[in-house]
Amino acid sequence: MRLDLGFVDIRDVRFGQHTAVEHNVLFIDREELTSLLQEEPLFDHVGVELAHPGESCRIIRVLDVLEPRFRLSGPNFPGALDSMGLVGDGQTRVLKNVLVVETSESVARARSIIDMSGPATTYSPFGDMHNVVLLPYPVSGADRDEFRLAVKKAGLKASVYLAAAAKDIAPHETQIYALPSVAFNQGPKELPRIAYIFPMHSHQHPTQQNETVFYGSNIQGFMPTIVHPNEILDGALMFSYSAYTYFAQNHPVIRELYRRHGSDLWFAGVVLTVAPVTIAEKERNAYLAAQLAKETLGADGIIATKIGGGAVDTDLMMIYSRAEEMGMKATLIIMERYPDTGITFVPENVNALVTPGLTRDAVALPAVDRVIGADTVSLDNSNPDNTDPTLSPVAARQELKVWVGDIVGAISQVGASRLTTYTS
Amino acid sequence: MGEKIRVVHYLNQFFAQIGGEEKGGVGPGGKEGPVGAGRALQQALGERGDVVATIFCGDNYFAERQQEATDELLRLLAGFKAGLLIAGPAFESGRYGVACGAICQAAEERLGILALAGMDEENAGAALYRKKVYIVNSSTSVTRMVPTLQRMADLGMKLVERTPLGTPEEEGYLARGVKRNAFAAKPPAERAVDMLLAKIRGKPFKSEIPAPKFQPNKPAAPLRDLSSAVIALVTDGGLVPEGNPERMEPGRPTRFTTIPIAGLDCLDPNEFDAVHSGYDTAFANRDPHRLVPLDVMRELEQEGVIGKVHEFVHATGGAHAAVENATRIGQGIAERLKAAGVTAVILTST
Repeated sequence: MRLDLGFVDIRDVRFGQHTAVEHNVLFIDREELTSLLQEEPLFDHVGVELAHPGESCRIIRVLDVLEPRFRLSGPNFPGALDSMGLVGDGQTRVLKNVLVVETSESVARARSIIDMSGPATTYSPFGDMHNVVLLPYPVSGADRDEFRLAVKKAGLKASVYLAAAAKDIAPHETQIYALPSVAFNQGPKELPRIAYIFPMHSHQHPTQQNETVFYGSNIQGFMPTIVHPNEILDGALMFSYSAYTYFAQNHPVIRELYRRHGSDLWFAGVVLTVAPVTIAEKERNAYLAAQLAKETLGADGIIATKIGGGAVDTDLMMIYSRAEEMGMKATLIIMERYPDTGITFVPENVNALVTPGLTRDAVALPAVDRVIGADTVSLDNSNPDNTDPTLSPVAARQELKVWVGDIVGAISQVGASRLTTYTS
Repeated sequence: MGEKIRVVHYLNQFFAQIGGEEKGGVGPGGKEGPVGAGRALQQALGERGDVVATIFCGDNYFAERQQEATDELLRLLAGFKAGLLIAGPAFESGRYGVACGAICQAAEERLGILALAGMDEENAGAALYRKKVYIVNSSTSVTRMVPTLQRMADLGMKLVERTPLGTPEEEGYLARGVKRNAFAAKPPAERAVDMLLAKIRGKPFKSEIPAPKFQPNKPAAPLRDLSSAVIALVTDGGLVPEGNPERMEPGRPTRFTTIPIAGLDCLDPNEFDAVHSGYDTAFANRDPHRLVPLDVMRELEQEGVIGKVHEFVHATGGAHAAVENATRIGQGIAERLKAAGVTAVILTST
């Protein structure tokens, strides 16, 4: 399977008469995009705003973010947006430096923030990109969960709509991701074979019945299986919560294993799994995931990451232990939350953990001239830990005290951040 | 450069040049200006601050009357309008080290005055106070007085100026066990691959998260007789009476609930709630017995299989509890149960 990601450099994004890419500028027909998104019956109306790098601008109530992409042949986000089909093979256009940002009143954590300038941009890459912000508003009486899913689908639609404008433009750079079938994926003996075990969701917060996470499936009862890494990069997966879809499209571990494939390691493949809720299921998935890595992919070592809360730490530790029992070496990426909690479930034999950072570390974000998403935000500005829903709203443009974890894109559980931690 | 910071220095009777062990009973006192090693502290501060006063107390006096001594020293400290308190260094002297830690903690918590202490890592005061106050590691050797005071002065100025601190190794203080973020040269995915390859090739590598150390608990002896057992139900699933009158936190708990169940055969879903940020509470709200099996326990009680169900259920919310709080909550529940004559507990978790 071979995926050609063709990057089209975008230096500016403006509203214009027609949606098109001309001389590295993305012009957006605002009316056309808005009416496309307004086809959704759960939306009363939809706003579209632009935010640019360096602007004194804040986007709040961010639900999900993704990179605009268009597949030249075959479906986009099959099962979730287009009808069923496969992804991961062929040519895909990418609008580089552009981000589709979904905002929603239904975002539980009001403080999911992108700042286009200031200290937030030292933590997250998203403030350095041209943000196309979608602002859908629900019809009265819309179900909260259904609305959330509709907003995520609007993000997919907008992403494909925008990138389609670049389908006839020659990319400025093409990255090739190619890995043969498991049967032929043999490298030189001296290179260690590395597999990635990827729990894409934790059912401690169950998916909706009609939620489309993997090829349109709600992944309830999902069992470990081998997927081609390109499928993850090319639109098979959108996260349910706790991670942004941008980091599936630009999966840090998959891209790193590809980058070093053939030089100091051999990329053996990906085992996709979920973190279930009962002990028996957790044990089963850990056994099967490790077994697939060992016996089908022939891995010498595995990396595993998690999505979700502290409950998934147990799944990761089980995966680690099963892998090492089977004679593979293991390393985990595991995010830390509170300065004083630590990771509770660390068996003594687990000696190789990497942290993408601590989410509860306070950052002051200075006042801004313009806010997109809502004028006010309900939070306790002296104590970011206070999530009491009855808090009275404060102006979102003022200086806000937030946690690093509130900055969208600062810390991704799948291994993207600019941080590590130390014990002070 | 702002105003010079007013620094007060705390010393024991020996370093305050009052006398040796025989003067250990001397009560709290204060003098203007630096005394003894305080002059080296003044040099270390240079133009950044003035040692405006020295406060002192005999080691025995402090150990025997800690509350009284602390109150009096704080009164003196406030009188000197201190912006920064520097205590010690106490090196390996245990009583002196404890006094340094205690006075620093009290100054910060009660007066809001920034404070730091100096002592050896093995000093009893370090074990007691390293999580509460910054302690510069002085080693045991008094010959390290001048470099230790230099480190204390530099660290103190950083606290005053709210400059972000470096790692314990860089700054010379004892790790407080508090995690902090630092910018890294490589992204986590790359570090994970580096670590894995080092592990496979048998090369050295270092985990970024050390395994936590917990004190092992000795399990209680098994019950000899179930039919006389008094059994309590305890859960970390966040069970609260409807409306959560005790305001139990859904995450990061600092407290536990005490729910009377005497006379109840079962838990009415309309009268109980689950408050917990770590799982979907819909199922527990629909049937609270999913958290604590009171219905089944009552049947066993009636059949005489067990002696009796304890008259209170205790619950907390288990999500992201700080280890210290979780330990305190556990001890609090255990003490109550023990005092009430409970002989066994069923713990249910979510």
